[in-house]
Parts: sequence; C-alpha cells; structure tokens
Amino acid sequence: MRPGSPFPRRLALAVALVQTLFPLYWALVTSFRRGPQLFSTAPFARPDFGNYRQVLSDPSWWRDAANSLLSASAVGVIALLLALPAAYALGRMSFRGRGVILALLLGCSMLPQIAILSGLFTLISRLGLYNRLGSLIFADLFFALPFAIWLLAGFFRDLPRDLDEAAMLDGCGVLRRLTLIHMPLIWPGIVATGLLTFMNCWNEFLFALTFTLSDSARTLPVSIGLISAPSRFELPFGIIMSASLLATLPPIFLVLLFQHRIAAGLTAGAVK
Amino acid sequence: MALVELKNIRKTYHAAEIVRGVSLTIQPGEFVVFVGPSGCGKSTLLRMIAGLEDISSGELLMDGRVMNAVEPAGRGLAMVFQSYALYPHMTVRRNMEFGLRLARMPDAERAKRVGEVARILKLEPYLDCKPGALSGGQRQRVAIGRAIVRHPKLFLFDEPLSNLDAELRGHMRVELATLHRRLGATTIYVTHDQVEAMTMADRIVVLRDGAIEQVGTPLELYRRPCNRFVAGFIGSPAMNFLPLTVVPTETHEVRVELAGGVSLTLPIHYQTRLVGIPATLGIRPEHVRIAHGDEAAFRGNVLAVEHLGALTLVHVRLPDDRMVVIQAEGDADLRIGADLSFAFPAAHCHLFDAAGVSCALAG
Ligand SMILES: Nc1ncnc2c1ncn2[C@@H]1O[C@H](COP(=O)(O)OP(=O)(O)OP(=O)(O)O)[C@@H](O)[C@H]1O
Ligand SMILES: [Mg+2]
Repeated sequence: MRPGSPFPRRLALAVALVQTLFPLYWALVTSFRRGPQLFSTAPFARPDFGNYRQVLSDPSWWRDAANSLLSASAVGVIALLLALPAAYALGRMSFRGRGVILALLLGCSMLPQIAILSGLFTLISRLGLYNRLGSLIFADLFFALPFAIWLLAGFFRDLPRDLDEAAMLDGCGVLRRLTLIHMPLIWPGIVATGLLTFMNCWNEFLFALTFTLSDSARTLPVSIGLISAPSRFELPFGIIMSASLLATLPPIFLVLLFQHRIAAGLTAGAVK
Repeated sequence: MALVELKNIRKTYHAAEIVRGVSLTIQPGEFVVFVGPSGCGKSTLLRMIAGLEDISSGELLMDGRVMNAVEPAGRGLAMVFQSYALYPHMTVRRNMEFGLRLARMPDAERAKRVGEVARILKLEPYLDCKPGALSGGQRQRVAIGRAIVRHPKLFLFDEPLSNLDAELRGHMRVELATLHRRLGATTIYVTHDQVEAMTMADRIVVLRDGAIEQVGTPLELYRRPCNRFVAGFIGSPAMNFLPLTVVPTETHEVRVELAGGVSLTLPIHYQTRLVGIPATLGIRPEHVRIAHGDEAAFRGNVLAVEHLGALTLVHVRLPDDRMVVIQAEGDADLRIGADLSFAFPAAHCHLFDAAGVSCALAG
C-alpha cells in the first residue's frame, strides 16, 4: 500500500526534489560564470567550462584530491576491518554489558567534533602526526569506527539465528561462519557502511583544517575553502563552485558503482 | 543408524528448569516423535541432542559414547529446522554440499551424493537456483536434502512441515515416511501436530512442562493413555471429559454415576480408594454412539453440526451445560436445536482419578 493519493505525493516529492537539487543547480549555473556575470540573478547560464579548465589545470587541486581519496579510503577500509569483528561480537553474541557498549558507541558517534578537538590535537602532536595525512585518518576514525560498528551490529543482529546453527551442524567454526555465511549475507550493509564512512571523511572539514597546515597534506574541502582571488576584494565564486562540483563526482561515482549491491535484498529466501 | 540414550537430561535457564529429567532410549532406525503443547521444551530437548544447547545435567549417549561435550558437527547427525535455514546466497547445490565441502570430501564423491539426493527429492531442475527462487515445499526439500547428503546416523527434525499448507503437509508427510524407510536412519521428529505424530511415529513421546508424560506406539497412546493429559492430547477431535462419582458396589467392576443420574458400569477393576473422589470419565467422540430407546443413557441438545463429508461432528449440550462432541459416520441428518440421545459403550470409557491418572486400561 502506498500512502496518499498520487497528487499530494507527487507534490511532496517535487518540493523535496527542488529543495535538495536547487542549491546544486545554482552551484552549476554559478560555475559557468566569471567576472561581473557572477552577480547576475538569471537562473540560466551559457555552459562555459573555463572555470573547470582552470581548476583541473592546477596541479595542487589534483594533489588535494589524491589526499582526500587516500585518507577517505584508508578510513573506510580500516573502519570496516576493525568494525566487522566488533560488530559481529556485539550483534551475534550475548554477553554482559553489551547494551552499554552499544549505547556508548552511539553516543561517541554523536559527539560534536569540536568537543574532542583540543584533546585530539594534543594526542596527534604527541604522536608526531601533526600536518600529516595520518592525523586525519586517526581523527576521522574516532567518529567513523563507532558509527560503522553500530551500523554493522544492526545488520549482524538481524540475521536469523537458525543460519548459525545450520552452519554449526555443517561444521563451521566462528571464523568460517563470519566469512562464509554472514559476510556474504550482509554484504550490502558492509558496502553501505563503507560508502557512508568514505563520504563522511571525504567531506570532513574541521579536522582537516585543524590538523593540516601545509599544502602537502591538504584535502579537498579545505583547499576549496582556501581558494582566493588575486585581489582580496573579490571572491571567485565561479571557481569555488566548479571545484565543489568536481569534488562531488567521486562519491557519486562510487554510489553508482555499488548501487545494485546495496539494493539487492540478499537475505530473501533464508527462512520460511 | 544410532542408538540414542538420554539419561536424566535437564536444562535450566536462569534458575528456571525447562527440561526436567528426561530419560529415554531410542533404538537404531527408530522414528520417534516428540509431541507436546507449545513451550513444553520439545525444541530445547532436540537442540540439546544436536549440541546447539548445553546439557545442564544428565547424559546423552550415542552408540554408547557420551556426547555431552562433543561439537554439533562431530555427532554425526543432521537437523532440519522449522525455518529451513538455507543459506540464501548459495545455490541449491551449494547448500547441499556445503557441509561435505567443509569436511573436504573429494569432488567426485560429493557430486555423486548430491546428484543422488537431488534425484530422490526431485530437486534436479533446481540445483542451480538460489533458495529465494523456490516455493516453500521445494525449500523444505532442499533443507531435507542438505540433511541427507551427509548420511547422518541420526536425523533431527524440528517442526519441519509447520510452514507448509495443509495439502503439501500431507504430501511431505508421506514423503518423509518413505524416505525414512529407505534410509533407515534413527530419526527424532518434533511436532505439535498430533496427526503428524500418529501417522509417522514408531513411538510417540508426549512431553509436558519439560517432562515425559508417556512413551508408546501411536495405538498404545490412543487406546491406553496413562493420564488425562495424554488422553486429551492424542486423538482428534479431542476426547470428551465428564465429571463423575464412583459408587460403592459389591461386584468387582466399577460403577459410576454422572450428572443427571446416569449410571454406568465400567469394565475396570473396582478399587475402594476411588469411591467418593472427584473422578473423570473420558470417551472419544468416535466412540460415542447415537442410540435410541433403552440403550440411550444420555440426552442432549444439538448445538452445532460440522459436516466433514465422510464424517459429521455433532456438538451436544447436556442438561447440566457440559459439552460432548460426537463423531458420526456419513452425513447424519441432524438439526441444530433438536434433541439427541446417545450412549457411551462401556468398553471405550476411560476413568481418571482426581489426579488425572488413568485408573485402568479400558478397551
Ligand atoms: N534461550 C532461552 N532462554 C530462556 N528461556 C528459553 C530459551 N529457549 C527456550 N526457553 C524457554 O524454554 C521453554 C521451552 O521452549 P521450547 O522452544 O523448547 O518449546 P517448544 O516445546 O519447542 O515449543 P513450540 O512448540 O512453541 O516450538 C519456553 O518456555 C521458552 O520460553
Ligand atoms: Mg519448538
């Protein structure tokens, strides 16, 4: 049963679409403009890829993109590797204090970044990671890991218990149950968790701004934030917008790549 | 084929005793059915035999070997779950051979076994499908196939048919019975459907609140239930129960008086201990006879009539408001609201004392 009649539903959809897509559209229009045109309020612009060309021809943009890609992928992979066993234990086994740990994890991933910023800063300086990509990976994991564990634990928990038992009777130990039975089944969840983690880190700004100083470890959000014009009386909106739009492409590409994986309801047919 | 012995098996969950001292010997090749109401511990008992649940106390022996601490996979048994528990990401073939692969069986032999089982269960066309693409009955057969490819010494079934519709259930019942005859493996089958129990079992074990009430062949349980619980549980429709009092007599047979001044003499050895205590008469609906004239000791008012085709179930209200169900042959012509007279043949009456224990074994 679909809620509502077609018309109100379409209206609601249209409002939601406009609300999410209009800023993007405006960014696109702005990215085609340069100079005085930037102040035009006309909702159309002739496609002009000058800004894009300028961004892409700048080697520092490519370096920043590589930094972003590297740190976000590293966080995604490390978070998944560490979260899988933890989530398995939290989701599949019952032990004292399980609920408390889950609640703590949820609380951790909800902490405002700024609350742990100064503490993290000290830690990172002591570890000698300051102004290195490692500092970002380290800091991002603080949020990525609890979040990933919490999400994955939910996926693990929802798997039918009978499957474990059937596998036990077939002679599977814990490790083989995890790798041969559970992981293939929650694969969509693993992919989704990895993607979400990746995107959070890809877009992360505050840590990147705080823990990196020089160009060598700069990531895209910071680099976009620091784009400035030769004269300090103008802000090069056109270039900022084209750089931002370019920065959205990798996550979009990744989502498209894994889309069918996420959508596939693999547990269908396990029981009943 | 395995000889399975349970010796005073108990299970406690946080101070609550779920299985309370079950002792039972299951002969090699026997088909034993555990029945009992929901929550009586059938699944728990089965899972303890499978090794999926620890045994709190007592001993489990298979072929004379204590199995309490042996891993589930090392017990040489296979289990079919109520939910089937197929691996959804594997094809039917993979599902069936998964355990064999883990046991490192050579490819050729594995393929041979899977092929053979697929043929027996008519699963050949589906070997390369995923379980999600199969119907309920086919999934059930895959689950059974996964169990039999391993050539287990002992089969465990936990309500394997309860997710199927009535027709398929009847069909699978026959298939399972045939399969058992063919494979000859010891089988323990849990159900709360007493028709399944009656039709498939060599022996039925009736459980209540974690303890065995009675063990016997289906007909033994039907004819000589040892107490009121078993009498009410085995047989469908369920046995009628009416309160009575035993009156003192000189003869060696029991004479009882029911409400409405009806008295009966039952072919049960007279015991003075029965006199005066609140006892119960039990008679199965199929044994109540619609009768006329002198023979008809009881009269009642027809409250409802259920025509089942070959049989008719008549619900009758006695003058004291108690209900009796009568099963009549054919489509007896009975009107609701009409009066009906009937008799209880003494040979088919059961007598239960105040504690519900059968006083003697009728008919
Ligand atoms: N893991 C557990 N922890 C605590 N109590 C449990 C656990 N498993 C089962 N029980 C309890 O044990 C009792 C028996 O459960 P069991 O599943 O064996 O019943 P059953 O006879 O199979 O019933 P059904 O016919 O409904 O399947 C129930 O009262 C249940 O609440
Ligand atoms: Mg059960």
